[in-house]
Amino acid sequence: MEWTWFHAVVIGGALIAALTLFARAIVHRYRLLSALGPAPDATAGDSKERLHELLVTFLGQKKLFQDIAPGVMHALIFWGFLILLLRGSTLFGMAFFGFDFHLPLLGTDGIIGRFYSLFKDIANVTVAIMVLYALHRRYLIRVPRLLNTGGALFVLVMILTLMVSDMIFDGVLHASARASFEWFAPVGSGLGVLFASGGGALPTEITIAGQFGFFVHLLGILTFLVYIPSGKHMHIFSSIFNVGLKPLNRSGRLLKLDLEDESIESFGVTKIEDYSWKDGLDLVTCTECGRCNDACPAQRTGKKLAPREITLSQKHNLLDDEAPRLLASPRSPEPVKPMVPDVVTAEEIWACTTCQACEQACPVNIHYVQRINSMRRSEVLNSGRFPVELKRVFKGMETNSNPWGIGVSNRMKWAEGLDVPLFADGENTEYLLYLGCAASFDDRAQKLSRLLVEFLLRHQVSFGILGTDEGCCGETARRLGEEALGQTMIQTNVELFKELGVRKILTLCPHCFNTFRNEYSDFGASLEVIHHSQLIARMIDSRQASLQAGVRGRVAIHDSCYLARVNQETEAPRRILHTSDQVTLVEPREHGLQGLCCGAGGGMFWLEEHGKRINHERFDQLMLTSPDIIATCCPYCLAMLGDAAKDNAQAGVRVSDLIELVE
Amino acid sequence: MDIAVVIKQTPDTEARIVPDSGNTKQIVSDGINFILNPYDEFALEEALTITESSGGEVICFAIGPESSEPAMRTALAMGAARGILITDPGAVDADIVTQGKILAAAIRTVNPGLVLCGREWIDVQEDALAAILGEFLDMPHVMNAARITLNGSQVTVNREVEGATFEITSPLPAVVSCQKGLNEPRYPTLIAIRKSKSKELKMMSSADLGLTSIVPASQIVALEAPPPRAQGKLVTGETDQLVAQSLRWLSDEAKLI
Repeated sequence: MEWTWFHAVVIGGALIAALTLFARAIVHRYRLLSALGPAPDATAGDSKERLHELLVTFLGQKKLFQDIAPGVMHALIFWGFLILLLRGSTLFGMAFFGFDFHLPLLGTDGIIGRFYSLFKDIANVTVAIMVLYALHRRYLIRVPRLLNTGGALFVLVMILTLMVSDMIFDGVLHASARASFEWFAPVGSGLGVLFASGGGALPTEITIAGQFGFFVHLLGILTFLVYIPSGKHMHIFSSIFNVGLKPLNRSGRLLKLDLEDESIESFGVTKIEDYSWKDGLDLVTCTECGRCNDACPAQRTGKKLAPREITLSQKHNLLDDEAPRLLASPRSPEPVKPMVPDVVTAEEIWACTTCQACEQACPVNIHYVQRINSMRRSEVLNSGRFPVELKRVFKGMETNSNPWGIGVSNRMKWAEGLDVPLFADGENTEYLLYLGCAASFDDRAQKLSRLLVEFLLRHQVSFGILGTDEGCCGETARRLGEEALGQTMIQTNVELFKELGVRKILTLCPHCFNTFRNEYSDFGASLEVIHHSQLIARMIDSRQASLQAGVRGRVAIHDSCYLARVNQETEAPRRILHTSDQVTLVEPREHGLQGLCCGAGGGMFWLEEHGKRINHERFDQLMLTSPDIIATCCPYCLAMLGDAAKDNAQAGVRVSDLIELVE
Repeated sequence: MDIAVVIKQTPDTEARIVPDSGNTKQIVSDGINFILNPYDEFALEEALTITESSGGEVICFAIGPESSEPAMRTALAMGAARGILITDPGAVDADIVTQGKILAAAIRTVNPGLVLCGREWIDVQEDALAAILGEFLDMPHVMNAARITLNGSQVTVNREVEGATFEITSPLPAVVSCQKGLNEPRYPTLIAIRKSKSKELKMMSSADLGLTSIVPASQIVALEAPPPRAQGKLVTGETDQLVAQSLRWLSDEAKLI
């Protein structure tokens, strides 16, 4: 098999054409993203953390392994590609310099080159097998979350073609050199021996096949290059940026909206360019894998909301509907399609529990919660459009600083007959115990407040409460898009905390916990925040507290999203239950960082739920572990799962907060 | 057609009302959150819906101390064009008939095609305002509207009573009081709240309206909290004992059986 100038001319011409087309597409995408809003937190923060993110999430493919089989498949293809990048470069070199070309150090006369050659062969075969597995998943198993688009099929067939064509070319090259079998080229030399097995000169068909393999491989790579920017495989290029430019410290933290600037006349996202360029990068990076949908509690229970479909609708809106307008000069401020309801419907945005399961699942660090929240903000603050049930909630918070709308004077009703110390000052009192609205007004959760206070008094923990001065922490209002109301309540609290010298806050509710921990710093408060489960765990560790003697049998833990996934606290509740040999800890299929939401988050507690209820879905999953007790650590989870338990009274399970299990 | 809407700032429905021991005609206002009288929101929403489809402005009228400006601001944020707040103590402390007279004098200055108010003021539980305004404005009035339809120079009002619905047609201008269920009042958006800050809110006194000597039709003599409800009795024990004890109480103490 011979190299001729023809190889250089054909491949050279195709290379120039493909690079030109590719560059044009990339410049177009770049200009489009530049037309979106600024994203200061995409570059801010610790660069070591970003490097770590690149190593673990991008190179290490860590998040993919949450779904193990396809995770391994993808990782092997990805790692295989990294090795084959060098092979591709070598083949382009061969097109210009002859078939004996090799990259420095990679000639098979040296040990490095031999090992490279071995890995290259292994990669070729592995990638090909993994592609067959991918085809199997898509077209035989028909995994529901996958979108079987023409693009997906095209790319898989293309990759397979690239692998096979290279193997054939390599085999023929070995055959024409009459090489014997070599350990460092098992595929190439193996095929070479096979092809040359007839003896004498190589049959023409074989040399033609080799040449054909060479051209198919390189032209295939170039076709791939041109195709990539238009489809989901854009992630091959953009995911490294999307992973590395991930806004840090965003878990559980909504962006603070500027309400000071009176000249701002529109809040949140009404059109695509109200998003940041990083949001835009999220959209073009989506691989359509559907892991977000599989994780989403709303999608799982048949709601219209599907994180992937929101992303794809917005991507389509950016690349197709609005692109000409965004790139025009001067640019019209009127969108072709207003974001809600034309691109995303109200039904979708008002179904999100903000549980972050989608973000936990996404292998390329796409953010969804803020994107949905920004649409809620626009609906509430600009248009006053939201589900009718929320008006009472907003008014309740506005007038009485709690979503129940119960009078401020009743805030301490849970404590009747109990002598609870008021927080006087931060010098003499360690913790401000912040009970939160649920534990102050919800009948069931009020019991938790009493138990926690009694527990703290019994163990002589230094604490005080705010009494009727306690207001809403602002978490729910902000998650429901009522940023103005949320910020007003937060500012009131921040001033009160400063006045009283509050430094450490103990919360009963993970929602208060999260907002104090992650969001109050944006409003000038620096607080050390601890959740009651963490304090109890600490006291259990030091043997000050223990599980109640009556707590025995199988106990299933239901992780609160805002404690576990959002704030990475999965150990404390387990440590508490691990102390007794009377207790067998059982875990539902989804637990810890992957735990399924109870359905209450993001203000969904206050909305009518249609179709299958999320709390029932979660309850059913928990019941598969045959528990005697379901342990929760959030008053909202308690209410939701408690309701599900009432609806399934025959299940005979007890749903309890951890504070009800310790003494 | 401009529409006049009478509103009032009232304590929140959840507020704990305590008579002021120092002033037997007032309640303790410390710690009370004030709101726009909920029924007035229905009147306001209806007025806004009508003017949005057929033109005209919504002008709000209220009597109250200067501290009742927030309710007026809420009305402006919901969409009213401007507001007139009558703040002199003579008007603020007057009874509803006198207040109706003052409000009528103020409303007359804008010559509205329709006057709307809430069915009831939830604080003092006065629900005669529409009739009083009708009298002083010399306009027909209809109370407790569950639906309002305008057709030319007439207004048709559906008024629900127990088991039946009256359909009442009246010539315009007229006074109509609005009932719950008439509409779903809008939620003031942040944008609207901001814009409302520059809207005109005129503070006036009865004297400005030419009413110099106010003679109340009635006066509050004293304000007292209702006596606390007597403690209930709790019976515990086995079912037989429960029944026996309950029967004993019902016959011996309550003399009901």
